[in-house]
Amino acid sequence: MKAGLNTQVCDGRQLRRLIAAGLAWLEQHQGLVDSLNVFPVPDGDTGKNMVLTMRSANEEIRAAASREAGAVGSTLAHGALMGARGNSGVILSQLLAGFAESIGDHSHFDAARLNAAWQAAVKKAYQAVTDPVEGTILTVARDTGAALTESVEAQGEQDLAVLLETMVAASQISLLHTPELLPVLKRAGVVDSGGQGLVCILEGMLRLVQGQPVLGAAESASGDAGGWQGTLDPEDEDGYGYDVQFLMHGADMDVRAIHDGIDDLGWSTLVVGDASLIKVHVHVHDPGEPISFAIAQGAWLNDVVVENMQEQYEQYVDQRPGQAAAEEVTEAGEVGVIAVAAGAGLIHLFREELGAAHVIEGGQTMNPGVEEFLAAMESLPQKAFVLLPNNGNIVLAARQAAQLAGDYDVRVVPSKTIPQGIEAMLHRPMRVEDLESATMAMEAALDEVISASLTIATRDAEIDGLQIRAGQYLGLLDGRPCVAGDSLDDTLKRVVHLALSDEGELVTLYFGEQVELHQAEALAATLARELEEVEIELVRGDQPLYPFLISVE
Amino acid sequence: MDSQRIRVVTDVSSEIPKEKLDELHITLLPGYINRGDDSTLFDGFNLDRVRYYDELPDQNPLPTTAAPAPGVAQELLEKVFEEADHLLVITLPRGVSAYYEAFRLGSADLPEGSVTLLESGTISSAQDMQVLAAAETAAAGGSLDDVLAAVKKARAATASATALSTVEFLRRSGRVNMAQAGLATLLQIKPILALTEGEVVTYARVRTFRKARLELRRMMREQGPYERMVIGHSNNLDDAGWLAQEGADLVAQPAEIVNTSPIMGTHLGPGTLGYTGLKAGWRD
Repeated sequence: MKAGLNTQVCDGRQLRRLIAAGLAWLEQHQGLVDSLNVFPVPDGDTGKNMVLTMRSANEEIRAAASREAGAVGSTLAHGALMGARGNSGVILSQLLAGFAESIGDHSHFDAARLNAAWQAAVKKAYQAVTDPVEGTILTVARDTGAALTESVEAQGEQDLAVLLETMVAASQISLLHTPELLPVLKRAGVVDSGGQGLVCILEGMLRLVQGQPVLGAAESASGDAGGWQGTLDPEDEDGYGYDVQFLMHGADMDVRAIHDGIDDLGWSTLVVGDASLIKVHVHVHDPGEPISFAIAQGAWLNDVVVENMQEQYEQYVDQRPGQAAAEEVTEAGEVGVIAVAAGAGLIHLFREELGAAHVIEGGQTMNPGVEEFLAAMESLPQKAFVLLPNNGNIVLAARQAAQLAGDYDVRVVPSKTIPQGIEAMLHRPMRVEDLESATMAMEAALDEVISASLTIATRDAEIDGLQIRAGQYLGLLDGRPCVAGDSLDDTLKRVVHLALSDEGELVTLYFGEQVELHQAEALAATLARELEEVEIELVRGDQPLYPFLISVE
Repeated sequence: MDSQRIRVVTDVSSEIPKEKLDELHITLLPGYINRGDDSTLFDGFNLDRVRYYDELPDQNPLPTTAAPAPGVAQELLEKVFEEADHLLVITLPRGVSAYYEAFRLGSADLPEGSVTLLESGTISSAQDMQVLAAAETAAAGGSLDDVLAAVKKARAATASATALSTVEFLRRSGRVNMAQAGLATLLQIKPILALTEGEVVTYARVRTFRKARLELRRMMREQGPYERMVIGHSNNLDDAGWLAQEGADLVAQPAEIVNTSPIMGTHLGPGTLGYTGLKAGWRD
């Protein structure tokens, strides 16, 4: 036993040191806890709020001189109650309040009293929340309490340092399971932030007890945003391995010996129970080993659960936030927009960012037909649709599809250009009730934008007095050729100038597949310098044939 | 007839001027604004809003707002209760903030039945319409039932919307599901939003602030006339003056123009413009 902590009882001075250590460890992981925050409000401040709550509590107990656990506990609870921030802070303050109330005015606590106080803390925290949600700090606190109770009551463990170790292990395991209980965590690929905060506090306390540093420790994630993966990092270079859980039934089993035997086989070990029934939880590379070990002890097993953690981890990583962020559920009760576009950038823009239910690939040289619109409708769950042809040559096919669509409620918004289609998308209806009014708003939006484009002439021609040679850059305004030139830069500038009316304040350039990003950026920068009053926005379109599609509004 | 002394308590997203708060005995529960290592307990008045919004774009990380501790709410409620028989608390919806929980836990020790806690479903000046309806009804000697009925009517008769000059702050604040609100796009978008019945509703998405202004004007005019109107902005006084002028014929008393509370503005960024109107004839 290091750090001078009595292992059978804990008094006020020891409690004070434990709290300070928990806070210090939490402070070093504040950035990590913040970065995990997706529930209930993904505002990235769980770590900060928990630290501020703990700091307020810690300052109060530092100011008070008492050596009694009860007095320190109630001062602690008061400090947390007055300093709590945010949801996680409030729950933490309730845990501390419940703990302190249970300790009452006792000068110290032992294993039994610790267990009672923790259960009171969990109860108080659950009561404090209107609609308790599982997969949060509440679950982690409760699971930790369950392991504590088993250890104290079933195993008769009296050593507080051992109990703290059990609590840390149980909290870590519980934390790892939070994504299974709370889908929003699983979608974001994170564990619960408040739960992580609680684990950090307990870990800090354990580090103090075990004589490990809690300040400036090398492995601390100290404020690294995005360092959440650290919580999931394998504890072994061979990766995660398997999570193995089972119940051992037998007679005269030695819990301690079985714990040690299991622990030798893996990590995150939790072995609790009594001579006749033992619950085993361990992470191992070979799930057969702990099972064989248990049977060799003369026990019979049931409730055997083996989970592949490597697979779970890979799923988490695949579903990191950002990748899942654009996820949008389209339901049968909603209106689906079917748009036509070509180029990966534009297709992404329509579907992922602007919320089209489906994008039919096509455009100037590849006009989709009636069947493609009908097939798209049939493949979608919605019963009401808006069709956005985004090209003058496709409007008719869309209208015919609408007439042939039978049971579906279909409207056509006759967008003739991609910029018009994008403007219309901003007014798209979400629900069937809005179909009528939104279709009108979408149609009205078509006139809100001026469409221009830059392409390459395929043959010599003279149009409206404009001489064009094959291979030249050709600028079009509302579909009519207006400028031709040999230089991309110069022709683009001229067409943008022509498109800018008096009221134009935003020019959006969608650059095509023939244009490199750096080239497009350089052109946009030049335009921005020339047109001081106008905002220039550059968006990847990847469209074929047109180096630039241009919208002005 | 014995009349109950009812006092109204709300949160610091309120835009109600100091004199009016005093006159109607309305109390604000302060809340935290965290900037860098600094955590200020904002009471509605102890912060220079013009400077705050000026500095906001350069703050990294973005400031955060947090509900106060239940203990802070408890002290405040107990103090207000000394002069009252009943407290009516009207505060932010649970989905966006923890004020409701702070109030709920903070009122646990007050006598059973002495506190009515309401989620307004909205924020800032739209919430104020309910708060003012309550406080004015109470001041006129109304019973708790009268007061609650007035709140319900004011809630149904409030029209409100705010245009953002950028979605960047909303995105960074993390308080809104950007995909659900239709705002997850690389394109520059100026949305017109409101917090209604606890949900962020996107009324319109346009691509320039000029269009957003015109759309706000259209919405404001369509929903009027109003008994009371507030034009809220975040360091965008020019546009606020313009919108107030455009709505001047819709309201008997001139609209109040307010640089919005940072409890809301932190999450919307500078440059916002919005209106809130309590429709004429709302009591009917």
